[in-house]
Amino acid sequence: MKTLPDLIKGIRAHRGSEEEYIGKAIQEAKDEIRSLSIDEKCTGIQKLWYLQMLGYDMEFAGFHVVELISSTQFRHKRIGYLASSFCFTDDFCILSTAQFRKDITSRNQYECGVALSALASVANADMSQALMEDVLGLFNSSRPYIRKKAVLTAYRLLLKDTEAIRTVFPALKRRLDAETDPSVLHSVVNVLTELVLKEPKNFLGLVPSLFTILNHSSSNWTLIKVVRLLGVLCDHEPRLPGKLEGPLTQHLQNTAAKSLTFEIINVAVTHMLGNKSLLKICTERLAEFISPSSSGGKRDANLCYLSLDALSKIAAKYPRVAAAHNAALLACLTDDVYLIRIKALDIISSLFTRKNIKDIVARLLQFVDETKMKDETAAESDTATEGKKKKEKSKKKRKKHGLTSEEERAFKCKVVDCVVSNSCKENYNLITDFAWLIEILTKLGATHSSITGSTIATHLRDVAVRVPEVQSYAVELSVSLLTSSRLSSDAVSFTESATLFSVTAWLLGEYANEIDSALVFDVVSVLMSQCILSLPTHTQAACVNAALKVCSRQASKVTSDVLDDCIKMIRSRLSFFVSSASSRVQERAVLVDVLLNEDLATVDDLFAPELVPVSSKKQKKVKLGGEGNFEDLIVPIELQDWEGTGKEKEAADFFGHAKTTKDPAFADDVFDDEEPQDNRVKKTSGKRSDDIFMLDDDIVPEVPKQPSGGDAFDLEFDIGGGETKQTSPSQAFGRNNSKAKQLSQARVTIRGIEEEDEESEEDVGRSSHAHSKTEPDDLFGFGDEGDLFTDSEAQPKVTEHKHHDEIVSPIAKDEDDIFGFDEPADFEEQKQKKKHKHRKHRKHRHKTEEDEPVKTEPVKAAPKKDEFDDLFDF
Amino acid sequence: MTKWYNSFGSVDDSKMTLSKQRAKLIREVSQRVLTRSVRLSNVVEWRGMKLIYKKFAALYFVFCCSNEDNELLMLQLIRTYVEILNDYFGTVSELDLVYNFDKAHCVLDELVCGGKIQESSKNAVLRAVKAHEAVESDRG
Repeated sequence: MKTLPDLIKGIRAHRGSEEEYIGKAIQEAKDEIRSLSIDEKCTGIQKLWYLQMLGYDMEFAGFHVVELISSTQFRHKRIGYLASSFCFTDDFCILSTAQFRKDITSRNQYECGVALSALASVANADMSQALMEDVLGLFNSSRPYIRKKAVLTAYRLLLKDTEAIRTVFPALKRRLDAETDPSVLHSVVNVLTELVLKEPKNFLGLVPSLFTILNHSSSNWTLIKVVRLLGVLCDHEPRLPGKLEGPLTQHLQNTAAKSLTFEIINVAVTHMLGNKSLLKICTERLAEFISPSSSGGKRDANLCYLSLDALSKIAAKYPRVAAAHNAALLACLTDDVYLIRIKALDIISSLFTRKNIKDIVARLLQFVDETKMKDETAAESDTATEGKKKKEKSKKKRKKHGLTSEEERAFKCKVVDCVVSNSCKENYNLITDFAWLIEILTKLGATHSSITGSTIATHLRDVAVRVPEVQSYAVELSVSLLTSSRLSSDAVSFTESATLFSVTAWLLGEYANEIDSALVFDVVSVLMSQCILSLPTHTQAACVNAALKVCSRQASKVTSDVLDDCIKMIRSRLSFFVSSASSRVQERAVLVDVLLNEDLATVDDLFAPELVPVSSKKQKKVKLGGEGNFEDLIVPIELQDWEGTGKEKEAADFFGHAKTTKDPAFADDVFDDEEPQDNRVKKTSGKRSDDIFMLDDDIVPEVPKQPSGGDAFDLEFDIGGGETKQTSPSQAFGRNNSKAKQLSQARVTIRGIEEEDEESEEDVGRSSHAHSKTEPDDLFGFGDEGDLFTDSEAQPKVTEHKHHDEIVSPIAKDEDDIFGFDEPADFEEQKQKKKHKHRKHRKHRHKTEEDEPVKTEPVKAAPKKDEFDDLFDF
Repeated sequence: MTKWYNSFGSVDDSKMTLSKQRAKLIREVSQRVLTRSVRLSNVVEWRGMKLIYKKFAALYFVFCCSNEDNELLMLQLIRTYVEILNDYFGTVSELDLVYNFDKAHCVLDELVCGGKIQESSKNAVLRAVKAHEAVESDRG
């Protein structure tokens, strides 16, 4: 075990019981280093060094290393210095400073060299201060070997002793100018590159020398450093990029070294983005790297990734320059490496223009379909076979294919996302052909609704409403989308798909007159089909609604047979909906049921007014009318015992109804909506959902309060007098009679722009019509006041007619018109705000986000005060 | 075989001795590098720095550099180092490196000084190392 090789052999021989063996070895080594013979010490240190590499601590040997260094023999010195970097702590540094000095100034260049190298690794602040002068002195040594080491060591010392920069920097400068040896020059440039980041301005004086190096040096390594250095200086010297362009272009074109190419490109992209011509050349080189190599082999993954990185930066600034290489980018999308695909996709998504969008989207969709098919075939081959071998083969197939299946799926999602978001960004700026857009959206919706169903739905609706020309096309495609089984099955499993489904249903209902007569029955049957029952309630409600609208719109166009069939079908299925657990669905269903008894033509008239976007700014201009203090709480604090104990709960619930109410309409289940748990208290405590009071978002767990003026148009306060006219006025309300009156008035007048809705029939002339002509004060009011607060449901006819009487011509003409049509960008936001419906059940108003957007209808005149007195007659 | 040019303050515990810290870092790096498949690129991001590695038969050479450094340059460096070793040992093998790790260190010291590339020419490095040996054998 005497020599190092023996030790190593021994360790390798004792593979299993290394610990033991090594323990013995350490002991032996310790003895050796303590021995007086320097050779033995040397061997011992070597062994310990080796063991240190295996992970054992060697710090105790520091003192002996110092001893070694002091030896006159070069061999010992060398081993000692090499080992010093592993075990030197501060104490040893102090001990050895003198020795270092001696060796550095020694005439033997190798001794000097070894010492310098070690110093570079070991130096601490004290040592640096002490030895800096000596090292600087070596800058002028006659031997380049020493000079280069000195320069690099000086840098390391500088890091520890930052004050010395004042002496070091001038010395470096002198070296830069005077140096002839390329490796020393390289070191100098290296150090300068590091230092420039700290104080760039000082380096501007060096630029001329750097330029000479740039033009004359033949060493790529040096060139790279010089380019980098100049790049950093570009930020501080505005004339520099211009001057640099020439030499850099030359190098770019002439060099075969990829590292230099990349360095130049990096510098160009980071520091010289203003330089379009240079960047153009850069992109050309980059495109070479991206496209499959000329020899037909695969792209080098490294180069590809780095090129894409640089390209993405260029594309951000000069999309057209990058766009010239679309083909190469699209080819990258088939690469085996997931990251490369994603990067390429990112770049492509910033390159959409009006001209190329159709092509690019077509190519991207290819990927989506292709990968889908490949997935399917792979899946099929898996399921079809049972043998292990075959499974392995198909697994191998997948591996060859490049991406794992999760990566494939993720990639597909990203592609779909990319297509949808980029086509519709900037307010559809890039689209010239909306019919094409609708087609793409429905296509993606048919197959990938689980991924981006809601986004597609939003855009679909957006375009359909705002671009009247494509409405018929949209309807046509929506019919096929809706009747496709894929969407229905997806909608059951994914909420995104369900959203898309409901929007499609709405679309069909809204523009039902565009539906091809032959398909009407199919459409209606899909809308009322059995599987709808498994969809979320908002979708169900939308479907039921749409079915009615389709029927009524098409009433005049289809034959009476078809119409009868439709109606029969609706009625037969309606029972399922009427008994639904969701009150929203129930309500619609019952409404439809009743309305179907009416003459469909009149029902159609309900939907006659055109749906137009209203900007939110205009909405805000509508002043709140009526009296009433909006700040007051609806339910006084003393009564707010949401979590409360039995007593108070019984005393008054949210509406102030005692639990002992006789009215069956107040049965508990009425309050159920999405959440079947009948936690009325909790639910009514201000959650913004389809709940009793429409409350502002920001007051969620708190007491509902009336909204401030601006929010009036959020239509959250659906509650009208009707609700408050409860059958059993609670004591609570009774207590605050006058206040309640005020409140009720206020509430009543807060009716904002409300949607016109077939249910309003039912809802006793709840005037949700906004008169355009009325002055602001009159905007919100009720017509048919007398009818509003009656209990019975036998009023529909009466109110219906009144309704018709009161319909004033739709907006758009009046100068006072508050509902402007501008700023379509707001429209979406608008639409979202304006969903509410009147309910058949006066107790609660539910807000449905996906319901029909507001139809701006004339508002009826404000009710007189007297009428309301009746409400709170407890 | 490792050579350290910088302190990694980020290895939390001051309780850990230096060698333990190093060992931990080495483990982390090995984990990162060894699990990569062939078709992935040779650059890994780690702790805000880059790890550039190259595989030669069963050996991995890993260099860790800062984010701004040129990766291709590092790859070239690795290549140069391996070529020098090859020339020095005459078709170097893993065993050569194990038994002669101090010589390998010596070569590395000639190539990289204080964390910076010192000498890019293979021949120059070889000359230096051989001169070292000559001096050693002269002086005994």
